[in-house]
Amino acid sequence: MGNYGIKISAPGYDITNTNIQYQVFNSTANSLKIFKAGSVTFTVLAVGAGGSNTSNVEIYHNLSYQPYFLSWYKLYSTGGVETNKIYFQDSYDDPALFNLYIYGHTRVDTNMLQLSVTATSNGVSTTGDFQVIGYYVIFIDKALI
Amino acid sequence: MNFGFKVSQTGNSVFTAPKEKLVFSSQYNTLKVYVSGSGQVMVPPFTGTYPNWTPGKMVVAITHNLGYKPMFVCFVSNPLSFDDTRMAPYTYKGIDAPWNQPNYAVDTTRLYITIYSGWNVEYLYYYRYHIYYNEIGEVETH
Repeated sequence: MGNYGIKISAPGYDITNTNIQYQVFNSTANSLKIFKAGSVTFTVLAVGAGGSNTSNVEIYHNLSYQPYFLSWYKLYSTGGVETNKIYFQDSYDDPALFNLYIYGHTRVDTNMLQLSVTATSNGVSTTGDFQVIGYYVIFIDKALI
Repeated sequence: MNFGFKVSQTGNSVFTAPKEKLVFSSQYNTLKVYVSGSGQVMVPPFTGTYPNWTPGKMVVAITHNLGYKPMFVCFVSNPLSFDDTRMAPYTYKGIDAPWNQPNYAVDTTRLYITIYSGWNVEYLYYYRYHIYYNEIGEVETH
């Protein structure tokens, strides 16, 4: 088989002598390909003083293998005030703002991606349920090769 | 009209390869890097005493000015071992104990890397970030 393929260098680099890490595309190396992406809003139940709640939502991909994924979360205050930031998975929000230790965490299996948010009271009960948004990207590429 | 561009993995025919055996297909979007960078920051020790700990905290803000909230990935080193870098930042925070963890967040203008320290001395942390053109929450289905 002949030596053929496609490669594209990053701006400022000569394609004829640029190492692969400075190429934006190289047909000999796999690229992460997005299979499914979006967002979902779900509710975390009110947390009593010293208590903890976890809420989950499932995104079905049905790929029959565990795909590579990324996720982020928009975490709302207990008062229902929307924060402007979106947090990377497993990041806490600012407990000084929420009086809760709250974080989003994500897992995947062969059928679905599960987005979860856990809220743990910082000694103060919440006044009611509150909403969060999970954002996700599921790649065609496998998490486990 | 059925047109596009795809490249199969070595040893697979591009005409018959399933999507898992392609290195690229114009049918599927990819992550496109807007900017990557790295740096280092000193994070102060925690203050206070039990049960009123306050962790040391340092925020690194990286301006992107994309006007929307872009996808991103960050890494921060373990201050006790620079050969140990963490992507998923969560470490358990026990109630009434200082915590050690970075937080990563984005808004329409900046990426924020917030590093909390539960150590009793100042430590140096290394960080790395990748911001993509892709917008968080943009819907893609197949």
